[in-house]
Amino acid sequence: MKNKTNISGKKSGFKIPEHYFKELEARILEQKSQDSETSNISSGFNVPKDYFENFNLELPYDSDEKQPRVIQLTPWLKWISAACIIGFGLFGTLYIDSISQPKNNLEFTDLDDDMIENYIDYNIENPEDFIDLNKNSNFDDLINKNIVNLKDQDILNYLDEHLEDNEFNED
Amino acid sequence: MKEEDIIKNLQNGTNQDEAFRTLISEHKVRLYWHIRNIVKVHEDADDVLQNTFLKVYKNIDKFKGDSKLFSWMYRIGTNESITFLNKKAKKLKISDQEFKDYLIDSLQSDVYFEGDQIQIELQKAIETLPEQQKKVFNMRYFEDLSYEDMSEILESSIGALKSNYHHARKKVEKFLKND
Repeated sequence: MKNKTNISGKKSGFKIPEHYFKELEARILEQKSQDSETSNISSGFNVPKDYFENFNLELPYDSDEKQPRVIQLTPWLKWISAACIIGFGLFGTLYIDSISQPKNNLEFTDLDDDMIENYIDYNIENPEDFIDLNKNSNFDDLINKNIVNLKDQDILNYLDEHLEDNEFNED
Repeated sequence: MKEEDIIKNLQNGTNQDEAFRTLISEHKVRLYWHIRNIVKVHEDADDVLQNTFLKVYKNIDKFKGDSKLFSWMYRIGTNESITFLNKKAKKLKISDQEFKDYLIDSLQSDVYFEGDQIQIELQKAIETLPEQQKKVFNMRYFEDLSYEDMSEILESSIGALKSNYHHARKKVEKFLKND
């Protein structure tokens, strides 16, 4: 295909101002830069004059970075350090174990609206679909749906944990 | 310089200065406004913007090209802004709500804020939103980002982002009507 940059308005008689195309690019670029700088005008925020023109940042060179200091340990200091590390390790394990135990059960009513809204936003691909899908369902339906998805072993585990022996002996 | 060349030069160490300057020149305006919408005050936005570029430079080796470069930079900018605000709140030793009020009060005395009363009310309304809804509202309303871009930056599904924006808008409207 031929390069068509030399198309002129000779046949149609149309004319363009002198240097029009030459100046067009510069004008568009200028406009683009103005647009992007004023794009936040609806927020009311402003920047100092020539802030973006003067914004500059020097490269951080590795040679300027501080080197870590290496401390040589004497033999007795090594043993003390090792004992401290083991001590901290043991303490850490016990502490993590103690805090990982659930302290109390969080009820649905304890959650605030924002938390529930965020949960739905994060976990459901199309929340509108979820609402449409479930708006005619009642609470029992939802519970039943969930029970269908439970594995047999889960149900047995639940019964083991929650039913007292005497309930089996009633009959 | 093409984006791939900028990344390659920064990662290889060839023409690093030029590549870094190009990176700054191409992204500084949009990234600045993104940060400014979160931290509100110009001087803070300037600090966070510089930290963001430095972090991008220092961690460029970790950029594997799984997303667009600007999405990755926006993510860093967002995290830097939030970290900055958390540090500031901690330094001032005030509650979350007090800090939000402080941010809005700062606007009223900021020489680089020329918004009218409605825009101040809008900022107040935005501050009442949960964190994710706040980010989505700013990016969509002020920065005019597409849901596709936002999805890459915030690593969330388009459906969830639309829902975030919908909830955020409703809350902002309610706040402005009641105020």
